[in-house]
This record gives sequence, structure tokens and C-alpha cells, in this order.
Amino acid sequence: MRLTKPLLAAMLALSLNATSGMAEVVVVVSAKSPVTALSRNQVTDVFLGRTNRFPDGTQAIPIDQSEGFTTRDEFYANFAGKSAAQLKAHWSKIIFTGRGQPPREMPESDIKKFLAGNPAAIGYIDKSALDPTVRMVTISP
Amino acid sequence: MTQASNKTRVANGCLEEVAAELAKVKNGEPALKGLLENEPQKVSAKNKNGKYLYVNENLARDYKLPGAGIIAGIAVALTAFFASNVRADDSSGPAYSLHGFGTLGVTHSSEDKADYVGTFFQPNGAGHWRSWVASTDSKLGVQLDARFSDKLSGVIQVASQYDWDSSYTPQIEWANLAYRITPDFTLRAGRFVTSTFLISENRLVGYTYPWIRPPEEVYFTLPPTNKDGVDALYRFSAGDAVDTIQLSYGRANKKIPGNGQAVANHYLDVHNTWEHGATTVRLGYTSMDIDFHHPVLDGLFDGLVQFGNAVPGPAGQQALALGNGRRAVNAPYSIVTIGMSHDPGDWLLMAEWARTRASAFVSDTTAWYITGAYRIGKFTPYATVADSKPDKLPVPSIPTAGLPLPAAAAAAALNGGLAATFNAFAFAQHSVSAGLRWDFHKDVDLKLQYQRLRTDPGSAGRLANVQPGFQAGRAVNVFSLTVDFVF
Repeated sequence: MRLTKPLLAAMLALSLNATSGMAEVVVVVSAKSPVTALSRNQVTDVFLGRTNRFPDGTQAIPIDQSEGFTTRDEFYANFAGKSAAQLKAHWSKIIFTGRGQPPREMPESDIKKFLAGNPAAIGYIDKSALDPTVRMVTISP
Repeated sequence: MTQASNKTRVANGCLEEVAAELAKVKNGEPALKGLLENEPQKVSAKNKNGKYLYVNENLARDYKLPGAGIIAGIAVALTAFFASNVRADDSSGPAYSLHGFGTLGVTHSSEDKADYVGTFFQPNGAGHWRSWVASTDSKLGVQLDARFSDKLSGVIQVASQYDWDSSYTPQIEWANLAYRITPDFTLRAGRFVTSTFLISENRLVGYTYPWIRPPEEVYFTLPPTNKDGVDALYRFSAGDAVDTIQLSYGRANKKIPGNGQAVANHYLDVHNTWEHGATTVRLGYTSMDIDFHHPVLDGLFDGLVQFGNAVPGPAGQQALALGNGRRAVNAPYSIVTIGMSHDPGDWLLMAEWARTRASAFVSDTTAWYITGAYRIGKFTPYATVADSKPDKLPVPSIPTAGLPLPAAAAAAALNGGLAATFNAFAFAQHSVSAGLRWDFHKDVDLKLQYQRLRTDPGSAGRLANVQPGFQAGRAVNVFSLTVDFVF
């Protein structure tokens, strides 16, 4: 099938929109948290339940966005290479072996509020939602 | 093929008694009442309004195990928790949660003189018994987690699958209390499943792994499903990796088809798991002393002793030595395991290797598998190569030369029984599988799998319910389709 020029242009525009519409997900902690930088593995380990501590030994409480939020799916795709189904399989394994429960979930709008009051908490939000109540964590490769 | 027919009886006897027991269970109200009152296996369960857990008296009475008191205690503790409806410290998550999992599936096998089974304990399966069965993989489980405080938590999991007595009678799979001494150091007591292999602990939850079922060549080398005892788990960071050391000790007790019973005493597990990003490496050692009783096997060894007492000379001495020395009573059994998985997202590689050291009439075995999978959106095609190779024990026998006729006939019969037993417990099987997982819906997957397996001459591999006329060494084609779900 031959694609007409207008159709091609429309598709290009759509794909560009899709790209620019992709949110940039950033990892955030409370402004009072001592944590400033983490490696990708360290972030993943906290969110996948492999550890409940930051590298400095202090307690880490991961906070998830509610299921179905695109920021959540992007975070796990970027950091853990896991789709929503793979993430569910991962947590099913931990739940049904009595090893723990997935992070507490809340809507994106509540996360900053929760983080602001909990220095041990760590979450992820759209970069555009950053404000002084939370601090973006620098991610080393 | 008399050896094969003897194995049939070893694996699958006393059907009338099983039927009688089944009828007993079925006479009660279905599901809950049957579970609470007729359950011969010790059960605790939540009542209809979910306010408390019922503890079957048999739970405490039947169990002559050291862990029984602990398990009953856990059930009572959870009962009290739900009866009072007290919410524990709610600082990081709910006080309790209820989850479930299940699999519905069908399996077909091309071999009509033996059955393909989903667990070591299933009395029959696809092939001879029925061409297509739902019993190999279908299962259902529910789990209750309770958080009493930041440090103390409890878990009870009840699961139903096709088992030794041809029933789906629910069993307590997990029932333990965990105490977190520090965030990295946890002690548990009660009933739990040990992580001998990479997915031993979650082997009932099909949703968590790529295949229809873990490769039996490796996973059947450790039949006991759970243990009653204590364990300690210590986790620490090693650079950018997380390392977990687990040590557990206890006892396991499992009924086997044909009114047999396997008890694992001094059941020890030591494991080290190293996780770095997408890579997991696990090293493990498991050991136990097994008492394996089955009417057919006990009959054979009793027969050898009787023969030895009645017949003088070297034949009698040999029969006595075998009858007393080759029973599986306090028989040491151990496994060394190495497992790895690499799961960066788009693809998956898993491999495990196990070496068993057995005794009595069971041959040592080397078993391994390699699985590769590639994810294309919601589809995950996968392939597995698996192998189980025994160092086959020489089959002992009573010398028959020079025996008077009646004694010679008895010796020949006993020798036949010995050969059948030693052959049945040398598991030689090789298989290649290909399958497809489709995550077609939230929390639900559908899987298709084709497995082509071959046993060595003289062995039925991991097939069960072996019939006269079974030809070892022929290729067996196994087709399976399952739907897995979690909730």
C-alpha cells in the first residue's frame, strides 16, 4: 500500500506528539532526606522489594503510583525493564512466598504530600511536577 | 515388562481405600464444611464472615511433628487477631491482606502406557488414565497475610491441587510467623516452603514463571513440598548487589499414592542468593533423612527378611542384608544446586543444575535445565531443554544357585521386586519443550506448551502409573494449555 504524503505527514506529527508527550519520570525524596544520588540498581532494588534500606543504611519506604498511571509504567520500564504484567508477576512471587507486600500505592497528586512529611520515603513523579517540597535524586548509571 | 507392572503397584496401589476416603470427604458439605470438619489432613480456615479462623482439632491431634504446636499456635494467633478485629500499627501498609492465585489447564500425552503428572504425588495423569486431563496443573490457592507490628507478621496459605489420594483436598501450604529482628534479619517459625530451587517457593503460582510448570527433571528431585520448622534469613548489600543467606531446619511429612508416606527428618536447607540488577545467582545445599514407607516396598523388604530367616546359607544372608540394609529408613538424601536467571526485560535466560546424593534403593541423579524466552509485547515464546540422568545403582539380587525349588521360586520373585524397585527409582528422562505465554489480560495469562520427552531404556523417567507394555525409550509428546491468574 502506498502512503500518501498527507497521511505520512499526519503520522509523523502523531509520532512527534507521542514523543513530546512522553513524560520524563524523576525519582524524588523528601526535601529533608539525606539521600541525593542513587544508582539505577539501588533504586530498582528498593522498588522491587530487594532491600528496604538506602546505601547509607537508613530505612527506605518506596511509594508507588497507583496501577494504570502512565508515570508508573514508564518508571518500571525505564528502571527495571519490566512491563506492568512482569511487575505483577514479580510481586506475586514475593507475596505468595510470604516475603512481603508491594509498596504502598497512591495517586500522583498525593505522593509529594506524603514525601514531604516522610524523610524515609522515596517516589517518582513527572518532572514537570517537581517543586521545593521534594528533591530530585540524581541517578548514576 | 513385569518390572514396569511392578512399578505400577509401587506407584499406584490400594485404590479402594483411596475411594473410601474420597467418599468420606465428599459426604460433608462442599468446600468450607468439608474443609472444616471432614478434612482428615488438619486444616484451619476463616469462617463465612471472615471474623475468625477455625482450627480443625486434627491439626493439633494428628500432627506428631515438632512443628505442629507452632502451626496451631499461628492459626490461633491469627484467629485472635481477626476475632478482635484489631488493626495493627498502620504506619506502612494495611494490617492484613488477602490474595489468591490459580491455574486452570488441560494436558494431553501421547503415551498410553504411562501417565504424565504435574507433581511427584499425583497418582495418575495424562496418557494412560485419560488422554486429556485437567488434573496435572489446575490449582487454586488463597493467602492471608497479617501484620501485627513492624516486626511481627504472619501468613497462612491454603492451596488445592490434585494430590496423592485423587482429591483436591485443600492443604495448608504456608503457616508461619515471621519476626524481623532488624530490617535485614528475619526469623520464621511454622510451615513454609524452602527455596531449594529458584522457584520452589512459588511453584504453585503459574503466573510468576514463563512455563506451564517448572521442568520436572529438576523439580521432582525434591518432592517434599513444605517443611515445618524454623528458618533465618539475612540480607546484606554487597556493593551494587544484594545478597541473601537463608538457613532452615525442620521436618516434612507427605502422603504418597497407594497409602505410602514419606517423612523427611533433619531437613536442612542452606542457600545463598546474589542479585545484581537483572541477574540472580543461587547456590544451595539441602539434606534430610528420609523414611519412605509404601505397602509394596515394605512388603518386599519384609519378604526379604522372612526369606533370610527361613533359608540358611549365602542366599539367606544376602536376603537379610538387603531386607535390613536397603530400606529407606533414615536414608540420607542431599542435593547441591546451582541456579541462575537473567531477566533484563525483553528476554529471559534461566538455568539450574542439581546433583542428588541418595541411598537405599534410590540412584544418585544429575539434573539440569536451560530455558530461554523472548518477549514481544504481550507474547513470550520460550524454549527449554531439560535432563535427568541417574548414576544407576547396580540391582542387587539373592543368589539362587543350589536352592531347593520352593526357595528358588521365592528368591526369583524377590529378585524381580528388587529389580523393579531399583529401576523405578533411577529417573532417566530427557526433554525439549517449546511454549508461548500470552499476557492477554490484567493479572491473567494464557500458556501453550509442547514437550517432547524420552526416557532411557529400563526407566519410566518421571512418568507415573506405568502399565504393563510400557516401552521405555520411545518419544512421548505432551501438549498443555493453561490459564493462570492472581488476585
